[in-house]
Amino acid sequence: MKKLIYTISTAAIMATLVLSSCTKDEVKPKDQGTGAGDEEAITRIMLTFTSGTDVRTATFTDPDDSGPKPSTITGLTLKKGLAYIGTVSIFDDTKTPIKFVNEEIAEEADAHRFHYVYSPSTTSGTTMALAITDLDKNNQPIGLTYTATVGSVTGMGKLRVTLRHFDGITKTNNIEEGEADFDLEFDVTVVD
Amino acid sequence: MMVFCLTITHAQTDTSKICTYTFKGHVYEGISQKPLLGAIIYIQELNKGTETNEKGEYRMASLCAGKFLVKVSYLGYKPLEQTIIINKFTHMDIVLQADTNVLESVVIMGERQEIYLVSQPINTLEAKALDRTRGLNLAESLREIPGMFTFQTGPSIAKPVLHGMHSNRLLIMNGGLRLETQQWGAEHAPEIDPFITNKLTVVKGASGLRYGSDAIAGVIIVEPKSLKNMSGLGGELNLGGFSNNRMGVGSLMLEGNIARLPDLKWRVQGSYKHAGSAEAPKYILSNTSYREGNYSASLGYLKKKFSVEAYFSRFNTTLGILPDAQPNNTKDLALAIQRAQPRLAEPFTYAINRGYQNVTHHLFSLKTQFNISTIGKLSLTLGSQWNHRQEYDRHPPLKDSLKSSPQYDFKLATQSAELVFDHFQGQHFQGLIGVVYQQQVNEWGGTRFLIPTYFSNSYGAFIIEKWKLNRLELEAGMRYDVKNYNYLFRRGSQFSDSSYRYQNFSGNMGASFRLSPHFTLKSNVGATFRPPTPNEMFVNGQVHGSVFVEVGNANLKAEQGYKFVSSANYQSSRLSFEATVHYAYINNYIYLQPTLLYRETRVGQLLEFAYTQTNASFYGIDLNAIFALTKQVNLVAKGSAVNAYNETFSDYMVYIPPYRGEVSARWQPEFSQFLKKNALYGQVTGSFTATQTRVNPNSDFAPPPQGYALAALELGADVAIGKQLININFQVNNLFNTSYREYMNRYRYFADEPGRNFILRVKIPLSIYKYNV
Repeated sequence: MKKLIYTISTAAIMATLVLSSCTKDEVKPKDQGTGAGDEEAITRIMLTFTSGTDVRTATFTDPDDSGPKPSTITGLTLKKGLAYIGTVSIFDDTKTPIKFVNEEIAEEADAHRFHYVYSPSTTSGTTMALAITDLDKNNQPIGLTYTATVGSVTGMGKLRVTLRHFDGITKTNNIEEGEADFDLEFDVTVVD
Repeated sequence: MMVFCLTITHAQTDTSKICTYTFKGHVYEGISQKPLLGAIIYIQELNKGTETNEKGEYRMASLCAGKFLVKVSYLGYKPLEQTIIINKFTHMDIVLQADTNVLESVVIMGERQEIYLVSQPINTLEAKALDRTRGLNLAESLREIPGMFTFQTGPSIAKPVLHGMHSNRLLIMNGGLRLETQQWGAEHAPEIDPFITNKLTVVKGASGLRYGSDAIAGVIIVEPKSLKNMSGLGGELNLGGFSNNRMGVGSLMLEGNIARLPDLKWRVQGSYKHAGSAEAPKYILSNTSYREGNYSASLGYLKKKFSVEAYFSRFNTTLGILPDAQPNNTKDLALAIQRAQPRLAEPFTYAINRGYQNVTHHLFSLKTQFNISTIGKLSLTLGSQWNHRQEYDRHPPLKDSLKSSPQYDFKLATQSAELVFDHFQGQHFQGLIGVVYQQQVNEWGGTRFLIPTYFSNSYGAFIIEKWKLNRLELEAGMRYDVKNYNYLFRRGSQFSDSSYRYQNFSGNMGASFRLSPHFTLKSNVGATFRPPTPNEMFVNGQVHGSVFVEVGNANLKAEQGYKFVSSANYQSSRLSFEATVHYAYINNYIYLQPTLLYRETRVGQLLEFAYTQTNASFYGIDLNAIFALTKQVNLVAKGSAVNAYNETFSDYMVYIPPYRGEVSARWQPEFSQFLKKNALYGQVTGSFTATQTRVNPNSDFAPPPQGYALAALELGADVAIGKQLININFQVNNLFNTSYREYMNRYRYFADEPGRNFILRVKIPLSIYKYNV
């Protein structure tokens, strides 16, 4: 009888320990939303550079967003010595009507940061000064709009454009931080 | 623990100088009461011995009268010493009890119930051999068996590999059902809690005949312990602590019946694991924490003529993915591979951040069996399984409202029914005739496409017949399967569908021949066919937690595979040895081929792999030997080698396990009477894994890592506190904290394997009360 009580109580204590630890730390995502077929996509990213009547664009297109259809990217031709006002437009063409993703980014501006980095090709002395002109509610740069001032030398270069997403972490200005919603390099030609 | 029964019958006559007496009897196994073959009977004074035959009989003739010390031994069983007096015909029946301290389980040949083909090599992990793996996942536990390897994605995801094949080609049976989960992914580990069973079985050989045509490599059987022999209230408590990832493991099982209704028996079982970041010798492996919580329940009403058993199990795990394995920007990929260590070495934590998967599996089976006296047994098994897999990328979906949603969300529902007649015909014939039906729905959800929603159903019929005469057993069988798939595609608001139908024969034949009481030869050859799976046909997208894009091929044909296995098994009192050779040839073998194309996407380059078909051959050998050096010291040697060749392209296949070997010495001192109840053992193990050299260096992103040698230490004790027995096991794995990378782990591109691990396990068998039957 003694043994019975002993064993039952041991078992009961152990069972309590095991079962109580079960309930404590289960990771349950808040939203189990199945979102069946609710595919998210970015199929088109367009840069527009405007200086008076001189309007230039560069586009990245991937009709099935990482799917088997090939992506295409067109370069940017800019005039030397001009100061451009730049915008970026992001679309999801798989939706009807076509979704303008900029709206979502603007809503969550304090969790997003665009970076524009120009690097001349090794043989050219081209330059481009880029500056972001929009700010989020914390007075931190967003990058949906920016200015680009092209130097006086013609030649080739590359413009890296990346959108960083800060989910649940504080937004920073470091280009290598945050998760990349996209990270692209556009060929740039500076002409007379 | 050392229970034995002796019956000595002797008639007395006073003729001490006559040497015509015969000493004979039987040796039986303690639990099953089956005769033991090859047990050694030795008379010390005469320096004379013999062995039992297949009926468990032994016989020594022409003995002189006298008093002798008789020693009876059988590997894996407690040896027995008994003084006997011989003075006419002496008959002694001996029952040997399994030595629960034997770390390496004995290879058990052909059990009737679950494992039907006796011509296939069968390896099991049970008793102490299983106890010392408690807390590990299924695939890691099975690495103890020669020929088994793991295919890993980091320290927490492991798939079992047999003879170089895994996933759909290596079937897992749980509670009498084929485990039906999203087995196709490399990072999808089987949803099995090894604590549900006291025995893991691996059948090496084409097993399509009995279990479904795709099991070309073999089958892993995870059967919960039979409810049959239980009486009273008992159970088992297991606790474990692992230092490397600071993991705690607990498992509790309770089982019993009540006196008023002794045929109604039940069992409940639950286990929980809580693990933090794993640690390589030089750094912490970020976001490798995981949780796992499982439970199961069985209820059976077991009469002699009729039995019905219901079984339910639930498995749930949430596990993190190393951030470096899913680079932020694939321009970093080459860098991540070249880096000596992961970029983000965060401090130790139990937290799981994004870049994780959450998987739940429910399984329900209902088995009804009728025993029709002399004709046979009829059994009906109904099954229902529900698998829910959610994969969360490191990067949340773009839309804020879906922020905490998974990118991939799959729900697989499987219903199955199986009707089998197990017939006996005279002494020599036995056979199985069965029909099976299964239907599935796999629903794709989430924010990204990977595989389409599909519906499938399959039906089949099989017959297996075996013929037995003395030392020879022959068996042959045939099966016909039909499998239908209906795929539903959705792109935006547009739907389309397509249907596929596959049908074919499978077959199997083999022989088992007992050359001598010690030596058995088995050979088996099987032909199976495997229709392409939905992912092989239609996968299109980035694999969770990786930079790999997989592309399916809708033109794939069904695989046709042939596998030959042959084993030689030698068992004596001092030596147990088994060698298995295997050869498989697969026409239209489906595999992932690196296209060496980069897919340019908005987040950079992804590496593309496409499903393709070729003719492939797999061949190799598994070795296992246990030698009793002295009474107290056993030596164990194991090894396995497998080669796989792409016959069409005259090249090696990728991701095939490297050669591997292991030696260990186990010491088990004998104590005086005073300490008899307490047992102690110690073991040292050295394992060696070769560099995988049989692979084309241009087929991979990084060369195969260097081979490595690891040492392990183990100490164990069975302690009796009052009447309560407690088994304690202490291990140190990777004793010298060696830094190494494993070829069969996809994290090898980015990080080392975990370092030294101190493990403490406590097992408390509970026997709360028993009825006298």
